[in-house]
Amino acid sequence: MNNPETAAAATFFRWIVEHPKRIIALGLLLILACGSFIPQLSKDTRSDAFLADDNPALIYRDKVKKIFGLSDPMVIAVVSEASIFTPEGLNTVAAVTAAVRMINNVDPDGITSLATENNIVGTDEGMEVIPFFEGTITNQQQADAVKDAIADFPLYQGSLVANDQKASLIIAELLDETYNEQTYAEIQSTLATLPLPPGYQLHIAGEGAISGYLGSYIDADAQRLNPIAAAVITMILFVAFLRLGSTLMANIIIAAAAAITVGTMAASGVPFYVITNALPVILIGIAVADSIHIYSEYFERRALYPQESIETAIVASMVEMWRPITLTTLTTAAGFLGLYFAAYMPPFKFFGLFTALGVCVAWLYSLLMLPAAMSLLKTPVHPRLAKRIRSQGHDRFAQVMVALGNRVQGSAKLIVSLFAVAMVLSAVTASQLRVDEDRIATFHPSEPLYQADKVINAHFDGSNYLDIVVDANEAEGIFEPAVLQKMEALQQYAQTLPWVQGSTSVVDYLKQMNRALNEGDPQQYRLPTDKDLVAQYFLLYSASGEPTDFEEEVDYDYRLANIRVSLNNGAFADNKVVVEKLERYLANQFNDANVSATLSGRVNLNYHWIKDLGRSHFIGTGIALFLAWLVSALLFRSAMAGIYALTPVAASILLVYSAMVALSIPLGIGTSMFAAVAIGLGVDFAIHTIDKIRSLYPNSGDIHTTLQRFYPTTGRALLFNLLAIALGFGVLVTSKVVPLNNFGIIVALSVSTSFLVSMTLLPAMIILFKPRFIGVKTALLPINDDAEENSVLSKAGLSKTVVSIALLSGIGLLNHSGELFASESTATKPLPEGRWIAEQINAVDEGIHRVSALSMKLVDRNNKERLRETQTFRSYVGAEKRTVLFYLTPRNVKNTAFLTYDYPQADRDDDQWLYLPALRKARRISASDRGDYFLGTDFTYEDIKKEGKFELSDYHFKSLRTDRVHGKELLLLEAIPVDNETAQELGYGKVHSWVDPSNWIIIKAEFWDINQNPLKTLRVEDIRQVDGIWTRHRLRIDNHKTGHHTEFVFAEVDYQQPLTENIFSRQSLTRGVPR
Amino acid sequence: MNPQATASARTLQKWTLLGSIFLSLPLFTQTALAAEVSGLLKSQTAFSLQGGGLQQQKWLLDLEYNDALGTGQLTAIGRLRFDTVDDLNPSRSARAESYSSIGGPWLSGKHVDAGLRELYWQYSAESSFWQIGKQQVVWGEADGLKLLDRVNPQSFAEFILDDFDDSRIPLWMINAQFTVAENATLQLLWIPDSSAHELAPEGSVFAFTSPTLVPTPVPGLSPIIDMAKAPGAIFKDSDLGLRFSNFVAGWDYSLNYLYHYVDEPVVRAQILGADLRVTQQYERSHLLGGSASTALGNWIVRTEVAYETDRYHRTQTNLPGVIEADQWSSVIGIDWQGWTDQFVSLQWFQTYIRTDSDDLVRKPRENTLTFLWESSFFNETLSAKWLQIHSIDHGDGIFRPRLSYNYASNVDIYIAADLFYGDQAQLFGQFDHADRISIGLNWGF
Repeated sequence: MNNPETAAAATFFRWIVEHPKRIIALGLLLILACGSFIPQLSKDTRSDAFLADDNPALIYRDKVKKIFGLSDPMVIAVVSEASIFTPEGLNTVAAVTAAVRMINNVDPDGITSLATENNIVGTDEGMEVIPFFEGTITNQQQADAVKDAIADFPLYQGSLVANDQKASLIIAELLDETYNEQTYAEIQSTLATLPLPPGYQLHIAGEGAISGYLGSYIDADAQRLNPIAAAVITMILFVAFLRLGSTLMANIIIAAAAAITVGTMAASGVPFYVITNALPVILIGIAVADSIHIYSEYFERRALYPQESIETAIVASMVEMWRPITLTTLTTAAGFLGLYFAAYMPPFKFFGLFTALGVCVAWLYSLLMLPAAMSLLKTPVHPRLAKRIRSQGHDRFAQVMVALGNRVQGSAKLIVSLFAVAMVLSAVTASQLRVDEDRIATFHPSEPLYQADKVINAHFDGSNYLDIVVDANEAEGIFEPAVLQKMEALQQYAQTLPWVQGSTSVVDYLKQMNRALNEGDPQQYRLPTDKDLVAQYFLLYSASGEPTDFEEEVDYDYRLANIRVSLNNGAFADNKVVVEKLERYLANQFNDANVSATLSGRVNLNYHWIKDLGRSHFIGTGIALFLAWLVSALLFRSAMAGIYALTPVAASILLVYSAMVALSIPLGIGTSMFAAVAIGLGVDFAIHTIDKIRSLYPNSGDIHTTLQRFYPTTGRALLFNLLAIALGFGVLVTSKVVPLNNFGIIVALSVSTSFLVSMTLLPAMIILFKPRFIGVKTALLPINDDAEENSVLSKAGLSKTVVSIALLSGIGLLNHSGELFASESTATKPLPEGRWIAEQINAVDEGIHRVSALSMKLVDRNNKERLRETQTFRSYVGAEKRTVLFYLTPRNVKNTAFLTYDYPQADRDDDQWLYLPALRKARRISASDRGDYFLGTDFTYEDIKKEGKFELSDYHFKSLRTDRVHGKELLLLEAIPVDNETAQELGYGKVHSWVDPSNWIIIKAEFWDINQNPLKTLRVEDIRQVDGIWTRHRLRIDNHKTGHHTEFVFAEVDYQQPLTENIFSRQSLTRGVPR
Repeated sequence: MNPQATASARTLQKWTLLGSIFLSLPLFTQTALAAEVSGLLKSQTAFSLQGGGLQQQKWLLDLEYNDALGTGQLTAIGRLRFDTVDDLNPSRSARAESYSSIGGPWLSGKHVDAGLRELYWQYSAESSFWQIGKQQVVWGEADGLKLLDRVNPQSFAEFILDDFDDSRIPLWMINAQFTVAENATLQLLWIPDSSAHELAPEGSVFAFTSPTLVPTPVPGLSPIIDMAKAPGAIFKDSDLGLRFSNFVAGWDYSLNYLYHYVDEPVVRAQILGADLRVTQQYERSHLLGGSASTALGNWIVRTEVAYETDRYHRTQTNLPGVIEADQWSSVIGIDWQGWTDQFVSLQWFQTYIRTDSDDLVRKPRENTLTFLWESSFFNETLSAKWLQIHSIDHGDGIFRPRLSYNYASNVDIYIAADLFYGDQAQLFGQFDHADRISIGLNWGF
């Protein structure tokens, strides 16, 4: 009986192969339709994009930015080898300030530098606010004056001028951060043309620069990585198959996956985030796997069964491969969806969702467009590849796997114990895993921006800002000395915290003003004690200063004030301490009924952004593990099997965590994505392992025998699968984006661990615990040893192709020529080859036309007989065979007629009609069930149709021996269906035929069912020539299962009577037997 | 001429015709093939599930004679029907009227019918085939309900429960088929026999009562009913059929045209003075349609579409009680043969009356589903079948389970049930009272 699922799949893929153009047209249309949205794709490489728009920290930060006119500025450092306080140094600061002010998107009033800031000095009238310097500094005296002024203005020490006086900053606020990237580029190009005195350097850094440069940096990286990935994959494909057609198609599928995914992102208004850059590379790695598997299966079929039509090979390959491909797609998509469900940051959510979509698109195109294109391209298998495929055997890799298998079988207990210990140790180590993220660490240390950041943080208070917004609850509340003192205390506290190098607020200006008004007495560098005095200070300042000078420190009605704290470290783990301590300080010692303060700024935002990363990662990992368990448990219909399947990935994740601890790789934005990918890819090893062991185990009932078969076949295939994945993700190792680099390494590590655990711990656990699910057969099970061999290569899904890659890479290559047949001929040397015998049988002359009377006797196990008399007509129209059979008696079935068109193409179903007189209609019947029994007889439709011959593409043939029967030497020919599907279609697992070499007529045949139980015996008698053609006149077939037998007796056989085509028409069936 | 005299004249004509054919047979039997006689005896006993008693105890004997005649082949099938109970046919008064002068049975009584079922001569030439005589021609792909299968009328004495092969009324016709290309055939039918459907007599178990099919009585008026009369002119009233069928790229398709009298009379009512006069008249229609089928692996897809002009449909308004409108019908069927010895079929029928009138008794658009499952066991000796027809729009339908056993080569026995359900005003629901269980025997010899 056919497996309905397989039959449906065959029907489906046959339809695709028969309608390639419309499938390809639709496929291309979809790519174009989705791809047409790509130009609308918006890019969002801002750090803020990692937080949802409604995140409270983000909303508050934006509010603060608006109130105080703050942004993520561009920070330019002028660094001198000696002091900056020289005419050249100060003039350079002035020149850079002037140049930056002219740049688009730079706020001309938002530039802070020595050339823009004012000194506060006491005068007789009170206080004067004057620039540190104006125009050009012409001599050292002027420069020294500036130096002295700064020395008297502690606020600018460390913030505007380096503590060692060798550098000065120009801080440029931007008008619109959307254009950070362009502004950064413009500043770079502008400053590059600026003449610098010898010994001077310019560095550009700051949050504005980081977010500005990150976009182009990652773009450039992607533009470099994607072609490398594509080139590597193209190379693998070409090396694997030596054919451009397959290489082209795999690339088209990659393009489809990428274009449709990115197009859908654009169409749904989802922007392209920083981490989205990893998507195409990952898709390239995953998408190509499907094509590799399919082509591998296809080329293997073409190599092994060259007589089979291309269409049949494609359909058979697809039928064999759709299931494992679907399965791995499901598990991979489940991994990415875990990320989608658990992530709280929009870029991660969308990354998970769209990568899952891309994986599914690749799957869809591999199942639909690939076979359609294959049927058009008709790419032939390369002769070298064909030769190597035919000479399959245990190469070096298989031997390695066998050795590993032997070790595992010998030390199952030890392995399980070792893993148990390793897991405990890993769990302990993994608990030390740090969550950390430093955006500057995204850049490679050789990047100018990275170096600029280091320089600025070394010379100044730091380029990382934390804002503390003080709310005095009423207008002019900031003037209250109590509030100001609290702010001063807060600043002092902040400066005790690690990495905090300085802070700026209105308090510092007031202290400076107080000092200025007290004749510059350093002792008077303190806050005024009277509210009115504070108000007067501001009034005095406004008399000579710019109205916007305090814009960044206090709001217009003096209710809100900002304290900007500078840190010289942007790492989350370090900032976390500062933020949390400050939050505690504010809650316990600052906030009261009159005044309160809230944290804001980039450092606070990063803290909120990253602080949930760990939790989100673990939840995502949990969901991905659950989904992988669910898919596996459903597949194997066993919850326990799901747990076994999960063991390798769970172990690998744990090991990766501890490795990250050991290598000091923190869990950050890039690395946190690894688990989703590792689970999706890693679980495949376990699934294939369990599936194969389950399929092999029932054959022997012995786990050791099973494993001995498992390691050199599936184990070997999985090894190559691992190598393929490693190559795909290996490309990321060349990335200059450090988190992506780490991501590539970690994924490679975890997938390798999954493989290793699947090959060692999993079998060891099965040996030790003997889980029940191993003994349960499923629909996936192969039917016999030979079919199983096919199933190993294909169903395990893992690249036979990759097997071919190795073969072709020249690694572990085997013998050169067709050993497949050599082994047969050495075993039975005097015998002709099996296939040759089958060809002789098929070559027996049948005549063009044939008319005969056929008596059928159907006898059940109780010897109850049923008789039918029929008239048969058969004619060849070219290579197409048409047969019609009319029932003559008994009257109950009289005029029942059966017409069949048997096409020469092996992959084309016959067309069949059955005329039922009760309906008076010839109705179309399905011809795909070749193994169904013909109208109640013990012959199948295929038996009737083939008339004692073979469809060569259905079987592997082998000549076994000669037997002497009734004084005749007969050749015993063994025919074994080429694969599980064919066996199921035919209903036979094996056929032994005794062939008379004098006329090549089969005179006896034994049939076994797909489970290798004896099924039927055919005996052919009364073989004699009619019109010079050897003709079988009496056939008896006994069904051993039912006890039923059928006898056919042919009479009045006539090969001479010409038959018109009219007899073989559907209409003729309604007319009764032709007379 | 009085009806009795007409019937006698017809009977005489037929006996004369048949007698002369049979007498002439020996003259033509000088061919290689010997004359061949075979027979089939069918018996069916049906028990009414509502009344509890016998609904039917029928014996049907078909005798078939095949012989060469000239350069062709003659087939004659005679039928004798005998029913000991026959609740289905309490009177045959209406029966003869639906037959043409050349189409009716020879004998028709309460318990016995006898007649020439089929009689035709076949002749095959290189690119043509001729079948001349009384015969059945079946068009279309649909099972169970008829769209294109309109060439022969049908007996509704047992509604649609009888085998179509038995209930279809063979007609005298010339059936010529020409091979016009490889696999392409053009069929021409000229049908001078205008016999129409035979409806179950009023008061019988399967008499139509649904208002969608028959007029509802007007209270206080006793109708005067004119019986329908089959059109009688051989040439003027003959039907013409044309079918082009072909097989291309795995698809069988046909294009069909039939110019014919619709086989059920149009019933019109009018008030003449104090009387309500009900007239019944056969009306012509053009039937245009096509059918197609193909196999897709284990699946067979079948479809059929028909467009009929000038159909008459019952209205809610009593007078005249019908309106004329064209009608579309279509069916899409899929058969599944994926499992050994199993056959599953699903069909979706749809009819659409092209009218804006909201006066129709039935809905302008109606949908019916059929489901068929057949399974055979033990080398096809035992077979089980389940057929269900269900009206989506009215919720009525019929279940038809059947179990049959091939007792010997030539003997089949079976047990079956026909179970109606639904609103009694609807097509199937109207027979809700007619549920039955049958046992039967088919014996070939």
